[in-house]
Amino acid sequence: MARNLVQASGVEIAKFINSFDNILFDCDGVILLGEDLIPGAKESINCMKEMGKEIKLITNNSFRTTREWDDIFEDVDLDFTSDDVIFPTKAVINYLKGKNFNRKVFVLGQPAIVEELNNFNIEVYDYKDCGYLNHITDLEEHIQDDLNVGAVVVDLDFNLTYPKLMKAAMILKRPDVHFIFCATDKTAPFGENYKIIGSYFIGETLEMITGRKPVILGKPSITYNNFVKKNYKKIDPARTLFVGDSLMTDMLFATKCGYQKLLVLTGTTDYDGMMNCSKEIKPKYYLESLGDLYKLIN
Amino acid sequence: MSTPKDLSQIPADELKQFVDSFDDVFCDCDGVIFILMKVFDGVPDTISTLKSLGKSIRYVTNNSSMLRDDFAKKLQKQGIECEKDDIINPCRAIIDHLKAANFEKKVYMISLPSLRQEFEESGIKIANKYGAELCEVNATSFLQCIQEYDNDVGAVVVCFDFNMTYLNLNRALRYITNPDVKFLATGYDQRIIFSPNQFCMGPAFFHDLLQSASGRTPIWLGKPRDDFVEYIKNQPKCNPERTLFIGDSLEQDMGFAHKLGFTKLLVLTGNTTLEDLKNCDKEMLPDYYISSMAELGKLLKNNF
Repeated sequence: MARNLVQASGVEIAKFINSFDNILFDCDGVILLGEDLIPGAKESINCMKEMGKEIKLITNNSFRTTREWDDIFEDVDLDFTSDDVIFPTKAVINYLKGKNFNRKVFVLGQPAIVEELNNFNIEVYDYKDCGYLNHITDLEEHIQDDLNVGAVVVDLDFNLTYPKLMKAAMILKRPDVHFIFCATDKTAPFGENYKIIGSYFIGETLEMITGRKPVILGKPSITYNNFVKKNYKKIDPARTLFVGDSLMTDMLFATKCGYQKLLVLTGTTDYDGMMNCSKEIKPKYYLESLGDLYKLIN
Repeated sequence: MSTPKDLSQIPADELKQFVDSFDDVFCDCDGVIFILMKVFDGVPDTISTLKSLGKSIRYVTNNSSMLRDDFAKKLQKQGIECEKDDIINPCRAIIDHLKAANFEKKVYMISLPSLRQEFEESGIKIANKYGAELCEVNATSFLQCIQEYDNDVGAVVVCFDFNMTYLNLNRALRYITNPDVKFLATGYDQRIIFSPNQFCMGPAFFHDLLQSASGRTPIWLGKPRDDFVEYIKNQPKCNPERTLFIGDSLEQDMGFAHKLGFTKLLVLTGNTTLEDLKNCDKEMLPDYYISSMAELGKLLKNNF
């Protein structure tokens, strides 16, 4: 039975706050809405910092490069740097470096992923869109394998086309090619009112065509948590609080990793959604907004 | 249900009974009449023989990649007597469906140019220009594209298109999430075979994606779907008791014909071997089988 933390007694709140040393905050829908801070979020974060909590940010969003994260923190005056943010591209780089990867990566994703990989000296396959095809037989030359490619990374790609997807499938037929999947969201909120088709389906399509299972470097995969742990000298899951807005991404991830859970309702989940979710992922506490937290402490 | 009979082995009086039992033939194309548009030897003679016996022939195919006019011409060039109106494919079924509903709005289409041309020739307006979504986008321009909503769109048609983009799918999704917009589809193929050794992924994957994202299933107007069964049943001069279906696939043809209540003849020049008959569902068992359309023609000529 999820309870609003604001309704807990002072004793219970204090007990809760003292039960964790680390906090992992999801970003979109928790701290930020688009490029704007959620009211009170900064105050709550600063309050937790003052209480000695070690804080990191974790997201499935690969839209921003490390440079852009630094910029946004400056814009909203949050005391973080890109080093404090855990996002899939970093996990991909870490994964590939760990395999002594020295070939090219075929990216189905945003320019930000390409830029990040380049910044870390990982070469990206220069995919040139083939444009309009007149006949199905024209497809063949555009979907050939390239032996220089050693990995396919799948994320949200606005410029995804049928030939590009087919080419990825062709490359993945080679078992030595790493198959990496970042964000596995089914729909992604976009702009104020729209939901777009998430990368989950693109990854699933490739799985079905190739018969291969990807390494998933995004919530709620446990593999992503292996990378999360690398960001700490030592982390005790039981004394770590995960603050998120999504049930199937954040709360599920936190449950699998053994973290404590706090759900906020400023993102993808509403009250009814939370009350109707399964026992396993339901958080003990929730807040309407992260902005309510610091008021409880004062 | 009795075991399928080898048409070439049944006694003469039973063969006569068989030939007298139908006036109309619905014939699958790929694997029966031709393979990859190349007509099998002997098929034109078989068609002529069937016609000389007073049977009408209509061709049912899931292939909408050519204009029906061009499809008919290609068959005519190879000696098969047929007209455009003898060809029944999902494209025609969708057009007929929209016309029957007095549809006057626009259609958002994900399909090959051939379907678009047939739609336009039938007077149906298409909302999107072919290849318009083949432009490079970023997050901002993508959002702008998604924000555009044409209130004149009253239907979405999703088929195979190798020029399809992620933007196409998201635009289609926007319209599909409006319950007042019709949602129609042709096939659910996993693979599209375009030359003897080559295939590419079929529309099945995009349909799964759209259905999961929207919660809606389309009206399917292709074999062996129920919606297409209804369409065929309502065709003029369709009396199941007096109709023969000739096909090469168990599910797509025999199962389909079973739902229609047609007599079922399986040919072995396509997807199915005799071995396959041992393990298939009861509903997909043919009444008769024969090695090929060419053999059917010879059998009929020898006996009638």
